[in-house]
Amino acid sequence: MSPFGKFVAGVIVVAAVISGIYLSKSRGPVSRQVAPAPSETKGKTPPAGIVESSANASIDQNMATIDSELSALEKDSSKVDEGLNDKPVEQTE
Amino acid sequence: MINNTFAKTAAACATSAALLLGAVTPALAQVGAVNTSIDTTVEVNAVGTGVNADVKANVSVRIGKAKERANQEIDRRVVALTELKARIESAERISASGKASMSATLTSQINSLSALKTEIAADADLESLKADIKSITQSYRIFALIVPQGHIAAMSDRMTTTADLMVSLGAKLKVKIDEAKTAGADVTALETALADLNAKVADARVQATAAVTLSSSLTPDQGDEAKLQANKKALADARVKLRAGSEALRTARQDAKTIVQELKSLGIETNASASASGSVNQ
Repeated sequence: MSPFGKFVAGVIVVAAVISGIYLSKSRGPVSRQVAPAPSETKGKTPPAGIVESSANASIDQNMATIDSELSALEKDSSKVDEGLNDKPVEQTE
Repeated sequence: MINNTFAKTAAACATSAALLLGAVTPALAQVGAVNTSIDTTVEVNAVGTGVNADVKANVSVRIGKAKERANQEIDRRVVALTELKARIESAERISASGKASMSATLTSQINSLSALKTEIAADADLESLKADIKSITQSYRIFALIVPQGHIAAMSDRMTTTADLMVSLGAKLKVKIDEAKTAGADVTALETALADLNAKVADARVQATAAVTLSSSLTPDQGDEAKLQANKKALADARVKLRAGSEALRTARQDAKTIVQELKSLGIETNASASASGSVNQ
């Protein structure tokens, strides 16, 4: 092959490599769909387990607050009973 | 001889009066009558001054005790009213106007009692003391109404607040249940528990509202016996409503616990700290 022929062949190879890289980047999302990572995420979905830390923490906080309110409600209830069953200090007139 | 006999008779009368004074109640009214009688006899006859001094001392002790009892009752009421006022002011669902109205009523009662305490401390004669003590007794009916009325309003307020929290919790639990259902889990029991939770919360709201409706419009009976009994019945009915509402909320809380436990058994997290350790998923 002549030197010119070698030069042309080299240009074609370089162009092919650059085109390949460009196409690879421009189709990124497509290639992610088949990447291993999503498969791992899918493996953790219910019933294996749902991880939503903020929602879970919120449920715990709700439960704790409700317990606290129910406890306070008991005290309120006692106060109502005290009010209804109140007896004054006997006075003499 | 005649004077001697008369003096003995006067002394005997004075002694009898003193004994009567110690034995009969209500004390103050009779102390007043007896004291006047003794003073007159002794002054007219100028004898038996020792007995008179004893009677006066006895009266003084009784006045002191009456004042002490009056102060105990006043202090007790002031403490109860002050605590209730603070409780009402910290309520979350009572309207600003409702709070202002209740607070004004409670403050008025506290101020009246404080003024009465000052008057009683200054009372030097039995008639004034008797009138002030009578005032304590008469004002008790107001106290006996507004205190339970206020506590019913406060408890109803907290029940509504708790019901709101339960609704929020129920919505979050529903999300978890739906996720488990989507993943193919059998969530029939969970959905039943959630439905019960929501029903109990709704019932608690109804009971809380009914309790306030029953009690909030009641007014002091002003000595009207029929109204007194009607007020008592309304307060008792409101109390029953609050008990029912409170029980409904406890049941709803138990439903929530059941749901959370069941979700965990399905491998679905409901606890952030458990997520960190990985204990639920394993």
